Parts: sequence; C-alpha cells; structure tokens
Amino acid sequence: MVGLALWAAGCSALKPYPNDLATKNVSIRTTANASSMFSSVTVELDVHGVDATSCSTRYLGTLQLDRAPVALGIAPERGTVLTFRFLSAGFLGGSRSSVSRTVFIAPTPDERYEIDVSYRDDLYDVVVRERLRSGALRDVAMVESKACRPR
Amino acid sequence: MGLTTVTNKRLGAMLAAITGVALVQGCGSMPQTAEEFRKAVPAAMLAKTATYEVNRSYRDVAATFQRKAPECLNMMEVRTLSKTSTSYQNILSEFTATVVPGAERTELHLQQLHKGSGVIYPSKPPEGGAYIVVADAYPLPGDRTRVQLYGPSIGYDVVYRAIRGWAAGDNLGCPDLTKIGT
Repeated sequence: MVGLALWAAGCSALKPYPNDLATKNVSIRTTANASSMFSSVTVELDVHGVDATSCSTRYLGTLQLDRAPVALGIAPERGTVLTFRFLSAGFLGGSRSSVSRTVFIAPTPDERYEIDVSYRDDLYDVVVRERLRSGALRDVAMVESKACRPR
Repeated sequence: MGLTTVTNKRLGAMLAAITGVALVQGCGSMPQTAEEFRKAVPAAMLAKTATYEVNRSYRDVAATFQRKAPECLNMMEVRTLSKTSTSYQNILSEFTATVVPGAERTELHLQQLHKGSGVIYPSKPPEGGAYIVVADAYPLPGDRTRVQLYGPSIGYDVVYRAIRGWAAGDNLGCPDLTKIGT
C-alpha cells in the first residue's frame, strides 16, 4: 500500500501548497453542493507565483477547499494567480468534469482579502473582496492573469 | 476565461443537445445571424422561446450582461467524451458570447463551435459557430426589464438559469458549461 501511494504521488503533477507565510492575507470560504444526490463536487485551488519582470508563472502548489474557511498566505508586492477548480463527479455512469476560474491578485503588505467560492445548482462563482481597515468590505473586480504587466 | 474538460458524458443527453442545434436549421442553411436565429426558433423542433420580467432596471440588466457574458461564456475549449459499449465520441467545442447593447434592446448571443470530426454540420456555420442561445433584454416602465429567450428546449437549462440570475441580479454565478446536455 505504501508503494502504491508513492507511485500515485509520483504520477500526480499536484503538490500541496506550503502555505507557510506568517501572514495569512487571504481568507477563503467555500460552498460546494452538487446538483443531485448522484454526484459530488469538490473545489481545489492552484496557487501560481508570478514573476514581476516577465509575468511568467510558477506553480507553487494546490490546496483543497472544503467547507471550513481557509486562511491563505500569498506573497505581498508580487502577483499571484489563483485558479479555482470545480471538480464534478457522477456516481452513475462514471462521468467527470471540471471548470475553473482564475484570479490575478497582487496585495500590498497591509491588504487583506476575503474570497467567497461557491458551486450550487451547476452555477459557480468566485467573489473577491478587500477587508478595509474600517472593517468594511469592498468588492474587487476580477482580474485575469493576463492583466500582469512586466516591470 | 476558464478551460474546461468533460469526460465520460452521457451520449444520449449530448446527442439531444446537438440535435436541438441541428434541427433549428430546418432543411435550409444554418442561421447566420442572431436575427435569423430568432426567426428560425419558433418553427424549429427541440427549440423554444420564453419570456420573463425582472424587477431591475434595464440599465443594470444590460450592464450585468456586458460584464458576465464574456466572463462566464467565452470558453476556448470544452471537450466531451461519450462512450457506450459500442461507440465512442470525442467532441471539442468552443463557446463565444457577444453582447450588443442598445437604448431599446440589449442582446446576448451565445455561439457554439464544434471542432474536429465529432460533429458534422449539414451546412456552413456562421463565424464563431452556430447560434445556440439568444437573450434579448427590453426596458419596461417602473425600472423593470423583460427578457426574451431563444434556444434549445433541452440541454441548456444551466445557461438559461445563469442568464436569469444575471438579469435578476440575485445570482451572478457562471453556468458550468460541462453540464450542457445533462
């Protein structure tokens, strides 16, 4: 069984995102409900670092987003691409599918973000808000990774 | 814009959706414009029109269409793999959304282009692919809006629900286009 697990890990291109930055500047809440009792939906988040000079991306790891809020630390002053993947699986017939939404985010050191991720009745959404110092939330327009401009 | 992949979809459901597209054309050529599509739908099998009103201003509905349609419906690649014990089908599709704003009407067009040899078109599709759904928003008195839909009667409910959510402003989610045909 250990050998099988190692083989499976080696074949997979995914690796856990370390999430080892001291400051957790992004809070993610996820709600994922399949449209029927014969299917399931899971949500994963791929984190990619962005090189400021070339805007090239580097895969940093993946997080599983379950119902509990996730506190995420991403490097400030540098861009990060967050790809939210919604994975559906049907229990009957073995159907599988996935859709994704990608967000480009480049927080300053004192910025804090809250992201609501949802999949309900085959409709999915990713809403990004900034938590202001006053405590209020400000909607942030979704920015795609192509918005990066090399310095 | 998201890259989506579908695997092992039910063959029957997908064929129903594709048939709905094909039969809109009738025996003639495929609708080449949104207006031709609107005229073809009422007389076509497996196609429907629907109308509803929302308590939201026309300006806000139009703005939401302009924001959400490109964000949610422009999909470069949706691959559908369907198999049974005797057959296997691989269909690659590209979705293109266009919003045409106006003072009297805002139009939302969804086109679907099947690539490869998985689907054979009986006639040349328009640039961007066959028209699949057209949604027209019209202003009404009292800051209300009427939405008129044209499209397949089966397989595209998730798209219709997304458009309704955008019009009403109570659900801005994107439709999972991999669920078309289910």
